[in-house]
Amino acid sequence: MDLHWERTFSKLGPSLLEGIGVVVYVTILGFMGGLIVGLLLAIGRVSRHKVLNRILTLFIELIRGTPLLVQFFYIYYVVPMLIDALMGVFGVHTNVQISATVSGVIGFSINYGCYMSEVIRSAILSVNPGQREAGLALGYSERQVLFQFVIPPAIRNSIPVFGNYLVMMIKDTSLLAMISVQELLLRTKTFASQTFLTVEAYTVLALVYLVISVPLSRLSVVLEKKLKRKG
Amino acid sequence: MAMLEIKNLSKSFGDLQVLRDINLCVEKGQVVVIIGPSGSGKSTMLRCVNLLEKPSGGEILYQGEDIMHLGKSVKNYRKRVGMVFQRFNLFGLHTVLENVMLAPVQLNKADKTQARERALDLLDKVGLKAKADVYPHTLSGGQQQRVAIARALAMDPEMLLFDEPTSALDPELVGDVLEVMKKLAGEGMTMLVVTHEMGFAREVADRVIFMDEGYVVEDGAPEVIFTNPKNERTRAFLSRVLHK
Repeated sequence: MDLHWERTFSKLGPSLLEGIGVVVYVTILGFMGGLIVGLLLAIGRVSRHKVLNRILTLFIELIRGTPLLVQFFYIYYVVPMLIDALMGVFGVHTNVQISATVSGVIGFSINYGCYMSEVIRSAILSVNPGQREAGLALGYSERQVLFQFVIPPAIRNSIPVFGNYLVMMIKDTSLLAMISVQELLLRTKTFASQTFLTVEAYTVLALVYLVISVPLSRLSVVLEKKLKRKG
Repeated sequence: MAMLEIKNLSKSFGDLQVLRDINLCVEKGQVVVIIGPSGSGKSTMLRCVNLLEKPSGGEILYQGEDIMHLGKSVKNYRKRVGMVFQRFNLFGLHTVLENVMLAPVQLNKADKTQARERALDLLDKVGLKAKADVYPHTLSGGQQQRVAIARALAMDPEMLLFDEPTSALDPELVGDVLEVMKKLAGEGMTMLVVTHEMGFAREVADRVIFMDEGYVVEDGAPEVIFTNPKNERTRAFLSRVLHK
């Protein structure tokens, strides 16, 4: 078997660098979106509002029970049509389109947000009740206590898990190839089909993912130990 | 008018009745110590006083005012009545100084510089000024509890509740905390204290209350309770704890 590493590096390399830009962009926005969605869902789920609780639980179930890839397709293809149809009812003709990248960011925000909300929720529930009581006894309201003394330690205790999610999200960006986001997999696939350097192309692709994810997971382990020490 | 007056207070958790027909009074400037075996309802009673537990029945009057139906203004009442917990419950993500000055700044809109000065004074009072900038987890239990006392004092409470403040401490650390409490008592602070420290009760209390199985069994001056208790159960309890 003849392997052409040099040609692969010189042709695929620059393209993949651009692809990394896309991956970083989508991951950063998607991750921040996920944190916000996760926090909001978690707060809603620990509130004593029964109806809200039921609705959010159902929503989280719905998202966790369907594959991320299907959600990307849904946001990219179906949601614009639904919006058009809905606006059509009011006699407004729209032709909404959601770009593939934006679909990716939205999909990640919602999907990861649901998983993160469970992490944050259980972290909130496992904060020592004494923290809440101490706040109440000083004269803080329940809401102030939640935001001031319960959520911050809960978030802090969730950081190691978030680290894992970040690494998972980076790898999951490869799903976006299916809705034509020019990320790493799609670029590699195009290159491989044009040059037939299949072995080289996909090996390089795998290595690129490894080079990004391994240091990040190491970092999250270090962070976890550091946080534990501070108690 | 009494500072705090509790009438026919009862509390149940489901079928379990923990407080039955509690009646007691705390006058301004008094130190009232509650003693009794574990599970006698002492802590629950104390937690009812600042409504961390919702009483099932009866009345609690604070300076003549009913506090059981305050709704949202319960937080204004709690600002006036400080509480010190068995497990300190300091805010772990905040420094010692922040623990003490946070509530005055955030809830009473106190000036930050003044609140800081005051917090340092209070830390000085409990002997921990040098620890102002460290985080609570680096302190011993006794030190943490003294910070917790300073934190409660920072809101200028009219009355302080102590829920077994020394029960979670190593024996050699108990003394420092009791010293601070004695100092407060000497300054005329109104205090309601649940404790197992009989020495403290005997020396500092104006009145001692003995509780058992959810009842107030005996209520009187410490010298009477400790030397000549009227009730058989008080006598049995004291002989158990004093002759150990």
